[in-house]
Amino acid sequence: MLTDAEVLKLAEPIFSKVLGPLGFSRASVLSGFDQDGDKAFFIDAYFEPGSNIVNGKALVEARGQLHDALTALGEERFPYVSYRLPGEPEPLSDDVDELAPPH
Amino acid sequence: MRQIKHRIVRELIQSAHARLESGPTRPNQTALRRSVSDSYYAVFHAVCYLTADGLVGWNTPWESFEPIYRSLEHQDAKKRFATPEVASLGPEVRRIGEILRDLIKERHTADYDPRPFATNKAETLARIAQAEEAIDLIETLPKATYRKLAVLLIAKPRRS
Repeated sequence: MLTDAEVLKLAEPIFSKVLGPLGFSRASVLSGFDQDGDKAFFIDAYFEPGSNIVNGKALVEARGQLHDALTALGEERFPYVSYRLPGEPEPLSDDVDELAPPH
Repeated sequence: MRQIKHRIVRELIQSAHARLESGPTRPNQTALRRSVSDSYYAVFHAVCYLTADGLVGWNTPWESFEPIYRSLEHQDAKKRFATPEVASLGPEVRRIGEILRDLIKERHTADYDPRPFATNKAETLARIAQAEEAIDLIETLPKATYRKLAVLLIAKPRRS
C-alpha cells in the first residue's frame, strides 16, 4: 500500500505534464474513505489563479494516467481528484441568516 | 460517430450549465449543487443508455428497452466499472468509469452534505466538462467495445 507522500510523488509529475499548460501549480493527497466506506485517495490539484481549467479532456486524462500508474503498482485505492482554482469568487451563502452581498 | 439518442443526457448537461448562468453573477450554493447533480445524472443516463442500446437497440419498443435501461443501479455501476474485465476493455472505458465514480462522490456531497459547498463556479464548470467528456467517449467507443461493455455492466457475474 502506497503512502500519501508516495502518491503525491507519482501525481505531481503527471499533473505537471498533462495539466501544466492549464496552469497546474501543486497537489495534495489525503487517504481516507469515500461515501460508501471504500478506501480511497483524495487529491486536490491546485491551479494558478486566473487559469482556465475547463478542459474536460485534459482533466480526465490526468486522473486517468494517475489511476493507471497506481493500478500498475498494485494499488487498489481509487484517486478522487478535485481541481481547485483559488481566487475565484466564493458562491453566495445558502444560510438565510447571512445577507447576500450586492451584485 | 454514434449519437446518444435519448435527449435527457445532453439536456441534463445544458441544465447543469444553465443553473450556473441564470441569476446573480456569483451562483448560490444550491445552484452549484444542482449543477453537479445534473452532471452526474447526465453521465449515469448515458451509461444506462449504452447498456440498453448495446443489448437491444434504441429502436426497440419501450417494453424491451426500459427494463434493461433501468437494471443498472448506481452502486452496481461503480462496482462493475472497477472490475478487471471492464478495465481491460481499454483506456476509454476506464476513463468513463473514473468520471462516473468521481461524479458519484461529488453528487453525494452535493445532494446530502449540509455543510457549505466547497466548490466554486470555475471548479463546477470543470466537473461539467468532465461529464461531457464521458458522454463523448461513450459516443465514440468502437462498436464491439460498446457492446461488450453493455454486457459486462448488466450480466450477472459468473461464479467459478
